[in-house]
Amino acid sequence: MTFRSLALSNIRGNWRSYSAFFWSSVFSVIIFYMYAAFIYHPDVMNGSILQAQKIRTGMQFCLYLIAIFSFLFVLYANSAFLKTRKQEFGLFSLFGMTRSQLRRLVIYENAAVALLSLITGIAIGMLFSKLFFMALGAMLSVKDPIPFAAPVFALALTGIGFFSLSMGIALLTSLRIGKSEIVDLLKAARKPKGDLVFSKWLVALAVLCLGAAYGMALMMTPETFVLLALPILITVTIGTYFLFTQLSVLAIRFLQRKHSVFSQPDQYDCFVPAWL
Amino acid sequence: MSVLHTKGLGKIYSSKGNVSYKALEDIDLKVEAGEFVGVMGPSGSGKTTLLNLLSTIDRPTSGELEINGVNPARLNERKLALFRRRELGFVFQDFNLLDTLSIKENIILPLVLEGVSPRQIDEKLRPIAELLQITAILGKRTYEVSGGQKQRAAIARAIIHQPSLVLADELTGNLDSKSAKDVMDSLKDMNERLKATVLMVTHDPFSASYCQRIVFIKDGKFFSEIRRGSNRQAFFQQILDALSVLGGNFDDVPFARA
Repeated sequence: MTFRSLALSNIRGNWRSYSAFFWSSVFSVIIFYMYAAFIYHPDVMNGSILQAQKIRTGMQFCLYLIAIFSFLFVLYANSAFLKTRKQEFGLFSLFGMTRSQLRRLVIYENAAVALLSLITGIAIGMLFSKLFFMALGAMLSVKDPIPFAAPVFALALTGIGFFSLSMGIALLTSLRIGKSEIVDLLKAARKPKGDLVFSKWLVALAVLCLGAAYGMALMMTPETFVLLALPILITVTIGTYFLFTQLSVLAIRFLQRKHSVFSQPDQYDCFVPAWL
Repeated sequence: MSVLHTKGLGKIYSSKGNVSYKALEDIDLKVEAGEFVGVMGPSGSGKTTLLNLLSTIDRPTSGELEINGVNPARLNERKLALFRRRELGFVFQDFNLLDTLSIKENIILPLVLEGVSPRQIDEKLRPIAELLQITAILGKRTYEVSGGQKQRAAIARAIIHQPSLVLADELTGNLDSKSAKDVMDSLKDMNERLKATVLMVTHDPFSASYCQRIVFIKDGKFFSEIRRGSNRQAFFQQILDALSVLGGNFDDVPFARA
């Protein structure tokens, strides 16, 4: 066993927890690829599908949105996953794994999973892209069906984009680990989870952002599209982010008070999303 | 040559509210190479604190600690990790084997971190696995083997890189009497045949009777010390006597035997 195969053994051994991370990555890749495949579809690019020309910009915005959400999504999945491995990291450090080795281990593991999910995601995305084109064709009432295509640019964009995104996240999270004391890491498994917290202000911000976003979207006319598209995108992103991180805590608090839902203690864990 | 040397070692835990607690005070301990030393004391006497200090995962608030001539307090983070990797071996009550790895991978972990070649790793692993009678389970996962086998694997991991000091914490606490005896026999074998220096913290008089010397601590301070003659049975009785003098609460860890 070498250091690199230790990373692979870790993935294999942790597969059950890694699979959640893996499939969320795969899902992001699938959606991203299908959108990119349409936007950079040769027929759309050379303008032979007239209707597509109009929605191309909109879809490009969607692509950015997907990229931003994938980033948050993968970041959460990753940090939640690493939290469950505190004891493991504590043991590694106890046995003399240096901090840089620990970081390298996390980066190796992430690279392997990113590569695997990228391949799986693009494969599934290709498989379903024709279906996606058909649906878009029906919605845009295009006469001739949009033919299947796997634009090289879309493939490259998905591949390079997603891989650098994952590596960026791996780097970020790897910087965060290795800062805690070994004693705390070893005890982490036995410590109870802290209370879930939310901030009233952030909930208010979520409501405000979402309200503003949908208000703007309602008022939007074709003339103001260019002006309003970006603000809407930003407010929706912020609003949705806090809606899920803050309001979900509120919802769980509410459910906890209703005893019937949480009558069995082990049900509690299933309800709490991983990022909390 | 002494492997471990502490002088006036102390640890005070203080929290924000200005409440400080003296967990360990003025401990002078000397362990010679090849010795098998036990540390006993009632609950809350500071055994675990002492072990944490010796493991270099906690820093003393007073006094000096030297392991193999090096004072770990003077090392930076990276050097400290390397120091633990090369000079120390650990055996725990709850085994602390990594479930994600096979038994073999667990045992060779210290060598993998050191970057030893797979061929050399195999050469080192074979004799130790044979001595501990775990050759047959090397390919298995941690949940497929018994507690005694897990602990023997943990001993192999603690010893495979030939550390200057093996620290064992209550290593028979989770085992039945038969496995505990096997594990203690194995540890004694390691001590006698491979000349490993062992420092063991324990509650259990039976496990302690394998030591050559036992240091008793109480309320964070040195209390007394006894040495073993040639007879383990007699030593066992001596330990029981010493414990009754020591007093305190010894029953918070379930006794597998008496």
